[in-house]
Amino acid sequence: MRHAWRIYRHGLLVGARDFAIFWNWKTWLGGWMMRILTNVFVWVLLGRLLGSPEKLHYLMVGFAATAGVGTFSVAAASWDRLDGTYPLLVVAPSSIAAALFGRMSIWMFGWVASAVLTFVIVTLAFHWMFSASALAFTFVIIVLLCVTTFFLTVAVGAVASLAPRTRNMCNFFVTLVIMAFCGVSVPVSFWPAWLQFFCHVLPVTHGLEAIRLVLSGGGAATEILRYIGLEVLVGLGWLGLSLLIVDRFAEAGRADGSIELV
Amino acid sequence: MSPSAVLRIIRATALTQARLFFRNSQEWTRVLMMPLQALVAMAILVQAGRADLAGYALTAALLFTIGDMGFFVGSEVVAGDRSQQVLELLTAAPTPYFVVLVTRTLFVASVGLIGFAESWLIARFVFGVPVAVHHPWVLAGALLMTVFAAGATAVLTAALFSLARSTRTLQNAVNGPFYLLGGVLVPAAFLPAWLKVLSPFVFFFWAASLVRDSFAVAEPVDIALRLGTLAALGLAGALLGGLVLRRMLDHLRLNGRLGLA
Repeated sequence: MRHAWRIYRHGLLVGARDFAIFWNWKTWLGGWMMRILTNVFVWVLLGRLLGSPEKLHYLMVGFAATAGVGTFSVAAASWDRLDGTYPLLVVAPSSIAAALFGRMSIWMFGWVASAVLTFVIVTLAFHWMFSASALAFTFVIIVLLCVTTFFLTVAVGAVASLAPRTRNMCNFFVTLVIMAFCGVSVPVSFWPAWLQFFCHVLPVTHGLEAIRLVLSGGGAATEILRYIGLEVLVGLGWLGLSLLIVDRFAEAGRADGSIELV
Repeated sequence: MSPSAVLRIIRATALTQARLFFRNSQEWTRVLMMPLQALVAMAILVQAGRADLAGYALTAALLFTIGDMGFFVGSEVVAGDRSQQVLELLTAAPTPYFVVLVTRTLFVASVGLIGFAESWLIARFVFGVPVAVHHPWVLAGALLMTVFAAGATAVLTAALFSLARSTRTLQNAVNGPFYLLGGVLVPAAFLPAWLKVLSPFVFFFWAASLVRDSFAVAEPVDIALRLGTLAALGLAGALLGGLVLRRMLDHLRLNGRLGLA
């Protein structure tokens, strides 16, 4: 366990270098945040078009609290394959999971920063005020849904790394699915029953429900805790699945000799 | 050069670009993925009981796709040529590089039209909302001019991006503000007044309003004027792009960095 932690930290350092290739603090604020914020406003304005304050608030919470969440991480799972460092990670005595989690998770910290910042700016722009405690709770749940989404991206990333060319497509799919089916744009109940089942085992769905209850001020504490618990459960499920498959998928490359072929 | 020679070059360039595009799975899958955003827009509208606004979702999906093709694929043409060491050969050839570049960005932008077909199918078969085109000629004109404006603007961005070190950062940053200002999903009229004044300078603004009007029952007004403005914005982008491209190529030649990416 101690080794895993040390490997994770080194992986995180590699991830930090990846991050620095894309962004420095100026381009992150001026470029990335500009893109994320304008994108959120593009969608939130639908609430104005529809002339419904409830819809406006619904979209604001959904899009702001998930702003940037899910981006880059799936693609990052394939970068070791493209860099040629992958075979070394696979033959190393330790599981590949710690190194992979480290390199990928830098993006999760980016999501937390994007979503929290976006949430503050968007709600301020529409003059929507909350109590300090509601805001603090919201931030905590945002962190939670970033973590659960991260575990999902590890699982998807492991699959995508079998065919690294599909990495960006898989990454886009993850963000699209969250936007469409996890209660960001419309309530889960809008979708057909068979689809709702999948919505409930995806990250974000329960976390957003919890945030909506916290912000409405009328939610019972037990209800809020129930949703938080469900989100944690979903996250643990994806963590378990990803731990289960990353090494197997990595070994598959060793078994059929395709490990160095991208 | 004779006009027939230019036409031959345009044809060969377009064919080459088509081959490059369809061989690159990152690029052609992008064009199929982008229109899926219509799913989100349609869901919001249908859930709010406003399926009558489905045209807005289609307009957004179309412009997201064309915009994405222009900003991400078209804008990378010069940088790509440079990193693949073909920029030196292309600029040394008697054909002006500008002609080659315009042909390629226009091709890429026109592929974005798939966004329209795909989002129409999503509205029809996922949500059961058949979106009627009440003014097909307006739509045809709008699509044609939008492709022209997007391709022409990509000439400018391709020229600008070729000098920058971190193209991806710029690409990521520019499209968002343009979509917002252009009112691609929600008309610019819903923007705050201080932002709205900038909208007419963005080609998406004219493109979005024309495409939306072609779905409306009401007879659209000032069509020629609006199509003309869209074309003029595209032309301005291409001319400016041509100037920037020349300056940029001169600059790289002077430094001897044309082939060093």
